[in-house]
Amino acid sequence: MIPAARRLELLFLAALPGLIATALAIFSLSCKHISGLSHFMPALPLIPIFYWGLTHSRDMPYWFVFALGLVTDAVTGLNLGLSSLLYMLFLKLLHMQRRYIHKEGFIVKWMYFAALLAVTDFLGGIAQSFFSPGSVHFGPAFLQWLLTVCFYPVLHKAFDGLDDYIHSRRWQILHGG
Amino acid sequence: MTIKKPHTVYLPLPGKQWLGRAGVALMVTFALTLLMMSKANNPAAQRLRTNITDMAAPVLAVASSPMDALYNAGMWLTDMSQLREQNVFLKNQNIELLQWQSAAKEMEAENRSLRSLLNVVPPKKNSYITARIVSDLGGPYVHSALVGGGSAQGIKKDEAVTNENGLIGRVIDVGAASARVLLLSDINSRVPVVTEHSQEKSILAGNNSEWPTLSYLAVGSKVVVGERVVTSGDGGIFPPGIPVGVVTAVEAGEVRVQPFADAAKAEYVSIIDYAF
Repeated sequence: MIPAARRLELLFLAALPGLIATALAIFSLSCKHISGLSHFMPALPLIPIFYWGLTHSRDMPYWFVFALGLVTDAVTGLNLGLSSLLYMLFLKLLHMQRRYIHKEGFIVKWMYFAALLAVTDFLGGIAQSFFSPGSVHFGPAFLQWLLTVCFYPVLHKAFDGLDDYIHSRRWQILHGG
Repeated sequence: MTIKKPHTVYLPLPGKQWLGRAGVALMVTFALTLLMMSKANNPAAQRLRTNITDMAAPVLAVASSPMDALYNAGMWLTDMSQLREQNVFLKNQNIELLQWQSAAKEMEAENRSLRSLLNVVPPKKNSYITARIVSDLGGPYVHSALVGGGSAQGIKKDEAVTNENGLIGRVIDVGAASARVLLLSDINSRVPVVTEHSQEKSILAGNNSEWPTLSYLAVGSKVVVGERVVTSGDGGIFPPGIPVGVVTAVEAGEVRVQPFADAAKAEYVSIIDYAF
C-alpha cells in the first residue's frame, strides 16, 4: 500500500510533462514587449508534446493537447478549435511513427520533429487562408517554424534530464528503491 | 435458491483502445464543430471564447509582470542615459509649445464666440477606460491582444483602443474581465481614415504586415509620402481625428501607412467610449 503523500507525488510526476507544456504555453502567450516577436514566436508547447508523446505517450494524452489548443485559440484570437485539431493531428502523426522513431538517435528525432511541425504548420496556414478575407503571408509562419526547430535541441536536452528524474523517482516510490 | 454473486467485468485491451479512439473522434468532431461555429460568429462559440479568456487573463497578467518589469527597467535605463539630451530637447519643445499655447488660446476664444453666434450644439465628451495589455499580440496569422478589463469595467464591443501615440485597434470581443483588441495590422482590420493634408478619405486595411494599406482611394488621389493619417469618424465607431499613422510609400496604386502606435511596446491602453 502506497502512502497518500507518495501517491500525490506520483500524480505530480505524471502531470509534470503537462505542467511544463502549460508553463511554456503561458510564456508564449504572455506579453513580452518586443516589437514583431509575437508574429514568429516559437511554438514552444509543441516541443514537450513531441518529447513526451514520443517517449511516454501516457503522460501526454489527447484530451490535454485538445484543451491546450483550445486555450491557445481563445487567447490568440484564432478560430476556436483550429489549434486543438492541429495539436491532435501532430500527436496522432507522432504516435503512428512512434515505434520506428522511438529507438532512433537525437538527430532523427529532431528531423522528424521539424517535418511534423512543417506539416501541421502548412495545414494550419491553409486552414487560416480559407478563413481569412485576404491572402495570408507564410513568411512569419516559416520564421516561427525555423525558430521552433532551432529551440528544439535545447529543450530536448533539458527534458532528457527531467525524464530521467521522473522515472527514477517513480521507480523509487513503486519499488521502494 | 442460490444468489449469484455479481462479478466485476474488466474491459479487455481492445475495448479500452476502442474507448480511447472514440474519445479522440469525439474531440475531433467537437473541434471541427467549434471551428465552423467560430467562423460563423456563433454566439455560443463567442461565449466559450470569452469564458476561457476571462479565466486566462489573470494568469497571463501575472505571467506578464516579470517582462513588464524588465521592459520598464530597460526604459528607465535608456531614459537615464539620455537625460541630458532629453533635457535640451524638452526645453526647446517647451518654448515651441508655449507659442502654440498662446495661438490655441486665441483660437479657442474666437471659436467660442463664433459657436455662440451660430448656436452650435456642443459635442458630447468621450469617456476613457484604461486597461493593461496582458497577452502577446497573436501569432503569424492573427494580430490581436487581450486586455485585462471587460464589461465589468464598462468596456464595450467596437470601442477604439489608443495609447499616447495613436490608434492601436478596436475591441472585438468582450468578456466580464477581459476584452480582445483587433490590431490595425490584422488582416481583418478595417478603419475609416482621412489623410490630413490632401483630405482623401479611405479605408485603412490590415494585411498582417507592419504596414497596413489605404484602400478605396479615389482615382487620381493626391496622397503623398509623409502625410499624416487620422480617423475620419465615418461609420460612427471611431471618434474623428485620432492619429493613426504616416504614409511611408505610394507605389503602383498601393499606399502604405506606418502606424504611430506600436502595440508591442504599450503596457496600458485607453479604450474610448465614443459619444456619437
